[in-house]
Amino acid sequence: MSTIYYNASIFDGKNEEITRDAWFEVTDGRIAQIGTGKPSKKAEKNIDLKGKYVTPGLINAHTHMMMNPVTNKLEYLSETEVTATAIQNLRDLLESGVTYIRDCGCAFNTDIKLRNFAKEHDLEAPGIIASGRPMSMTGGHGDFKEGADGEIDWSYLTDSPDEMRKSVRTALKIGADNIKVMATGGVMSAGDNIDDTALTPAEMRVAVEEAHHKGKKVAAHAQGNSGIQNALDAGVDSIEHGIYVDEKQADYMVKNNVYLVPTLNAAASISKYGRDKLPSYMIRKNDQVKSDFFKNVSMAFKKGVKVIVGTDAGTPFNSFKTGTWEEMQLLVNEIGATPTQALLSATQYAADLIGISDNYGTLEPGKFADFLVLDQDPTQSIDAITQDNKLVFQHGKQIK
Amino acid sequence: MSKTTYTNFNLFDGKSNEVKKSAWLVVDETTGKIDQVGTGDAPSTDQQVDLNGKYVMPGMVNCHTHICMDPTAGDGGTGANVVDATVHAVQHLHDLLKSGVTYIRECGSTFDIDIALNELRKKGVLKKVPEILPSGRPYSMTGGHGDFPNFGHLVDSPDEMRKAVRTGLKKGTMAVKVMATGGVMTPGDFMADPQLSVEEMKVAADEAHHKGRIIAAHAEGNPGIMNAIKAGVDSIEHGFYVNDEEIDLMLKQGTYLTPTFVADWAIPEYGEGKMPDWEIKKAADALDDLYKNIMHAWKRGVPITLGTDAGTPFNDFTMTPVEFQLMVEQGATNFDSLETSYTSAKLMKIDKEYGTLEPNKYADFLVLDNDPLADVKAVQQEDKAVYKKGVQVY
Repeated sequence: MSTIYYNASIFDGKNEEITRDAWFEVTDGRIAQIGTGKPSKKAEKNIDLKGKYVTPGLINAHTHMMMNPVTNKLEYLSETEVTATAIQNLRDLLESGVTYIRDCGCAFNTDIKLRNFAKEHDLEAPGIIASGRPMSMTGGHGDFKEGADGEIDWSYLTDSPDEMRKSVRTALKIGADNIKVMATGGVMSAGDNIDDTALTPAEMRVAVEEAHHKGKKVAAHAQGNSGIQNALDAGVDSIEHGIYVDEKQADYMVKNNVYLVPTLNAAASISKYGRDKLPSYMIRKNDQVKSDFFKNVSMAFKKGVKVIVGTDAGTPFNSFKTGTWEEMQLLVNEIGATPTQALLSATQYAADLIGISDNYGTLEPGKFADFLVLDQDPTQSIDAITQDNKLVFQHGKQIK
Repeated sequence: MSKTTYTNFNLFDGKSNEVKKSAWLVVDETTGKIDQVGTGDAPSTDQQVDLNGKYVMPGMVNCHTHICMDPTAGDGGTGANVVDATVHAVQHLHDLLKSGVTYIRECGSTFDIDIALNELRKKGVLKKVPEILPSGRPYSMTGGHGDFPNFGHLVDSPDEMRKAVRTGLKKGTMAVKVMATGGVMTPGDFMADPQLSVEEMKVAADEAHHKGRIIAAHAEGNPGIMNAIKAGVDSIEHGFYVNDEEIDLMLKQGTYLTPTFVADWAIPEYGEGKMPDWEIKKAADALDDLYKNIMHAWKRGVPITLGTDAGTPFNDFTMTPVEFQLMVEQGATNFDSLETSYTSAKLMKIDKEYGTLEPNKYADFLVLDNDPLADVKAVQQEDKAVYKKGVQVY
């Protein structure tokens, strides 16, 4: 069954300009052809998009589907609770226009299991690049207990290169698409010094080796400057957050094609929505860090570091419904990106980072028909993607 | 304090054998409870909703469900891992509520998933689902009817039962389920096989009652049914071969009976060519006996509850209203069949606030195109409106 959509203004994720008066054909969930003017044929269904704007579905390269941004319950979760929370978050993401995600750390490897579930059954969810349980040092950022009686850790606790090798090989065997390592602590915890480092370069280097042996990538949670350096020295493929990235590191990242996924929305959400709900010292600390954060990411962006859309969805008040749009708005309003650059960060460049470019990220013949239909031109104003009743298509099927 | 008045409908309140015309009801939006009910001129409140002459009845209370089971699998699908089971359980809860079931009692969940989902429901994380009286995993003898993967706690002595039930209650079980006999779905046993002993089941009943909880026994043949009654269970589930001696004791002790007609009916009805022959035969052979014995118990005054065993083969989570139809086909009056929902609420000890549409009870109600008291098939309407605590959910 073929459908032709015509009279469309297409941002295909490949070219920076909109192609006007365009049409495209979707067959068996993929884009078969794209053209301009009158379609060269008639399909079984022919839909007039009345000049509306078509973009590839959005990609959010840093989510935590297991987390609830309202209750913020992180520990002693049962797998049932993780699953029930995750399926709701996945539905919210897809309905907001996010057609693919990279999950960056999930208890019980539930992200891997849901990815597999979705292959055999109906599940309203974006495509999933799953990390499963992340790698953390004992006492590090990922060291907390899960299961009602605390019978299992959230992370693999890895305290030597050998332990890292074993854990990463296990994770890959279980089905992880991506490996997540914790290079530093987290800014929000009261006891952390911002520049504390966690995993050593030697430990992280083993993770990179093992992951690359199987064609997978490594993402490093790295906030403080020394930790970012350690992660870069280890050869990771992306820095997540990167709050205290400096100019030398930014140059290195440009030269060596290391991506930056800042997850600006994590800091912004606390600022925007957490005021009456979180302790005032936390709000103050976050505001102070946020200002440095945006400054540093802006610097890195201007130097040419590939900045990717990922939100850390699930952290306090960091919504699965609106977070991806908010991140794109922050790139434009705080970091200095143009709307088109923000769009590329959520489409072509994000697909490159998470390894799905063969089939996703742009609207080209042969790729899956994951796309949005918007009333306004998103290359003129990024706010266009916040349209609540936008149309969302996944593999050619209308989701919303 | 905001109130909404629903007007212009015909009311079946769940306990009176009549449909009241030109009825109105006032819901307190803050509590979700019914403030007042009446006929004729309605009081004026903050909001008015005209129900266009339709029929209103209480939301159904289904006291026997298995949300973690897969009705497309001949063996219940309990082998599914916790992620698959949870995803399906959530969908099943939505199906139940959409079909008009506003409260359920689980009778055995894999991985205690019902307990966890109920907690999420209470926190407002899980929405558009019925309220749940969770059972957690049921209790079965080794090799017994609950001996499926991830399902029954296997207990083989009063002491083992005591430990297991105390642990279950600690975890959040609010309705204990024990297996007194074999069943249809287990290949290695028969309905008449007695399984847990009177002593084993009595310990479970005592521990449940110590905490004000209820206990149900899967009991199909004899002497298993009598064993369960003697052990002091609050309800017999299925009761295919319930006899007069057992009925005498049930009447004396106030024991409830949950027929789950639709479970046994669905297997020969839909299972031909899709299920093993031995399983279809067990179900088909017993169906007429089930009908006969239950209707006899009903006539003698045993309180009959609405429960369907949803999750068993071809018995899906939209089919609760079919139970009314089967009851009526076997000779129950329309009112008697509909009233079983209120009886479920009594068994589950929630009847002070659920089960009928009366002042101070929760506004859990359905809006139907046709009169359920005239034809119970009206409750099967797929696009019925469903209200839970005064909020329209479907």
